[in-house]
Amino acid sequence: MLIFQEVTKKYGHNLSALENASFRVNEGEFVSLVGRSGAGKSTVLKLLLREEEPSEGNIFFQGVDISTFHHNELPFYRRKVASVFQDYKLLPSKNVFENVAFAMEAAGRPNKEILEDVPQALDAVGLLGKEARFPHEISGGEKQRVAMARALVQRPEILAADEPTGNLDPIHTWEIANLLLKINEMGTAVILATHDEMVINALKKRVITLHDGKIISDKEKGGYKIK
Amino acid sequence: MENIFRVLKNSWRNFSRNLWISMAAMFMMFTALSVIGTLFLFNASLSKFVSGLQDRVDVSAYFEKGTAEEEILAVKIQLENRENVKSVRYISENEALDIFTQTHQGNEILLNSLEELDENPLQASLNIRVNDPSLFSREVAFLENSSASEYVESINFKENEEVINTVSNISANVSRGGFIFIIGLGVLVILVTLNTIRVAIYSAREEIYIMKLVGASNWFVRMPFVLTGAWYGLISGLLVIGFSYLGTWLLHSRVSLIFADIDLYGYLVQNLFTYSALVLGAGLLIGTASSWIAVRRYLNV
Repeated sequence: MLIFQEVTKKYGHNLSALENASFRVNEGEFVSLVGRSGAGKSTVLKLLLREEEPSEGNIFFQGVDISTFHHNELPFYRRKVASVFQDYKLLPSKNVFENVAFAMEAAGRPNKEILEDVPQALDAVGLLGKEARFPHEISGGEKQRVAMARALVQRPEILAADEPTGNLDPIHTWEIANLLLKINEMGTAVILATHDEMVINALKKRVITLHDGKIISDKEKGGYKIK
Repeated sequence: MENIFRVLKNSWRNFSRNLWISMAAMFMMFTALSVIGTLFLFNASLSKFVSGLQDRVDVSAYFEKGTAEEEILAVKIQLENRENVKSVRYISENEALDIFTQTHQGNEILLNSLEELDENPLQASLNIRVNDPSLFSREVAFLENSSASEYVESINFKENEEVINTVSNISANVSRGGFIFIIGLGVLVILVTLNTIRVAIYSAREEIYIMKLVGASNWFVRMPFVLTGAWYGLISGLLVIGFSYLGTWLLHSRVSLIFADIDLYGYLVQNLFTYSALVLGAGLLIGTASSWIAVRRYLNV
C-alpha cells in the first residue's frame, strides 16, 4: 500500500535528514520507526503526510506517486492518512467533542454523520462522558486519546503517529499503545515513530530502525534497545 | 450548504477573535468609503446645481430701436432652425417695458423718470436658450455674421455663465482630486486590511495546520479568511450608509438655506439604492481583494 523508494531528504547542501530509505508497508500492517532523536523518524512521517517533498526518490501510496498530487488532490490524500503528534495539536478553544467534530467538518462531512461518528470514536478511545471538557481540563493521556478519536473519524488507511507517548507517564503510555493496537486491529495500518523502548518491545510488531537518516535494520517482530 | 454555513461561521470567528485589529481595518475602510460616498454626493449635488444654473442661462440679442418686427421675427425663425437652440422668445419693445415696470414696481423714482421720457427707451430683443450652454458662442457668432447683424445692437450673456464655469471647474477639480485621493486611500486600506488578515491567519495557524492535516479542502481553509475581509467591507459600508443618512439629515436644513439647489439629504433618499450599492460594492471589493491577496501570500495550503 505504501512504498518508500530510495527516498532522500536533504536540508541545504550537506544536511541529510533521510538517506536512500526504502521500505514497504502493507495494508493493515503495524510498523514502528525507531531511533534516537534526529534519526529521521519524523522526517519519514512528514514526507508521508506530504508536509515535505523528497529531495530524491519516490513515495507511492496505493500505486500513485504522492508527489504528483496536485494541491487540489492533496486534501483527499490526507483524509486517508491520519496523524497524531506528541503535542496532541488540539484546539484549546474547542471542547473534546468539537475538537473531534472539527476534523469531520473540515473534511466536509454532513452534520448527521458527525453526530453519529464522534460519539462512536470517543467511545472507542474511552472518553464518553467527557465531551464537554476543554483540553486544559483533561490529562495528557486523555488529550492524546482525543487526538486519536480525531484521527479515527477520518477512517484513514494509515495512521501516522509521531511520538504519541512522548509526553506521557507509563500508565498513559500503555493506554495509548493499546489504542494503537486496537485501531490497527480495525484494519488501519499504523506507522508509529517512537524512541520508547518499552513500548516497542511490548508490541512485538515490525520495527524499522533508523540511525543518522539511514535505515539500519527492518525486522518482523523486532525489538529495540537504546545504546 | 452545511459547508457554506461552516465557512461563514469560521469567517465570523476570525473577525471577532481579532476584534481590536479588525477595528483598525474597519476604521480605515470606513474612512475610505466615507470619502467615496461624500464625493458621490458632492458631485451629484454639484452637477444638479450646475444643471439648474444652465437651465437659467440665456443670451439676449438687442435690436436697434426702430428695427421692423418682421426683420426680428425672420432672425427668430433662422435661430429656431438651428440644432443647439432650444427656444427663442421674442420680446417686443412694449413687452420689455411691461417687464421692466413690473420688475421695478416699488421703485417710484425709476418709474416716474421713465414716464418723463417721450418714448419707450427699451429695445426689442430675442431671448435665446440652448441645449448645450458650452456652445453658446456658436449662436453668438451666427448672429454676428448673419444678415441680421446690422440690426443687432448688442448681445449679452447673463452673469450666470461665469458662475457656471466656476462651479463646473470646482466640480471637475474635486472629482479629479477626489479620485487621486481615493486611489491613495484605497492602497492604504488594502495594506491595512491585508496585514489584519495576515494577523488573523497567524493567530489561526494551529487551526489551519490541523485543517490541512485532516484533509480540509483548500477552499474550506482559505475562504473564511477571504470572507473576513468581506465582513470588514460590509460592516464599514453599512456604517457609512447609516452615518451619511444621519449626517445629511442633520445638515439638511442648514445647507438648504445657503444653497437652495443643494439638498444632499433629499438626493440621498432618492438615490439610496445606488448610493448603498456604490458604498457596499466598493467596501466588499476592497475587503475581498485585500484578504484575497493576504491569503495568496501568507496562507499556504
